[in-house]
Amino acid sequence: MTKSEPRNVATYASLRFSGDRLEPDRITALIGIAPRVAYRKGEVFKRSRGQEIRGRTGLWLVSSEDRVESDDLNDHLDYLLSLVSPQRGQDRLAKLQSLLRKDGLEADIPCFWHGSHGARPPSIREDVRERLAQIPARLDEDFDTD
Amino acid sequence: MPQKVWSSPGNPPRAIATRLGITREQLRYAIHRIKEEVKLGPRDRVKIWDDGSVANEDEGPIGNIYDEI
Repeated sequence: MTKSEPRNVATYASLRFSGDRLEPDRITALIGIAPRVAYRKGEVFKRSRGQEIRGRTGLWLVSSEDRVESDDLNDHLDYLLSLVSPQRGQDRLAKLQSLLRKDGLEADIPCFWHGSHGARPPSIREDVRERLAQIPARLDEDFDTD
Repeated sequence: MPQKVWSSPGNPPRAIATRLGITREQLRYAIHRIKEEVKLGPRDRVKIWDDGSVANEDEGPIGNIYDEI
C-alpha cells in the first residue's frame, strides 16, 4: 500500500479594485461582468444574514470561484487576466490603466490556497506575474496547509 | 454572551476551527472571503467570537464564519 499524495483541497483568486473615488459602475462597464461585491466609500452594503457594513473605501471584486474548476491557481489567475486582456477589446487594458490612474485606484489579487499536510504551495507562472504587473495588480497570497 | 476565541494576526490554528465545529480549511476559507470583501489582506488581524462573528481590529463587525461555508 502506498501513501497517497498530499492533495490540494481548495484554491481560487479574485480581482479586486479599491479606492476612495471608486465608482463600481465604471469598473463593471469596463470589465463587462457583474462583481461578486461592489460598493462606494461610505456606502452601506449587506453581507449574508443581512448584516450591514459601511465601506471604509470603495471596492469592486470579482472571483474565479464558481467560474474555474481547477486545482491549479494559475488557471484561476488566467481567467481573471482574461477579463482585462487585449483580446477582450483592443483598448480594454489601456482604459483600465487610465481609470486606475485618474481615480487613484489600486488593483490587487487576493489568492486563496489550502493544501493538505505536506502539500507544496502553488508556484505562479512568470508570464502570469508579468501580465499582472502590466495592470499593475499586486498578488496577495494566502497559502497554508493543514 | 459570545466569547472571543481569536485576535491575533495570521491564520488561526486547528484548535480554533475545532472550537467552532468546522475544519481548518473551512475556517481559513471563510476568513479569506470575509477579508477580501472589506479590503483586508491575509496578514491583517481579525477577531473571532465563538458564535462565528468576525470583526476587524477596531472590533467593527465584518462578517460571520458560518455564512461563508
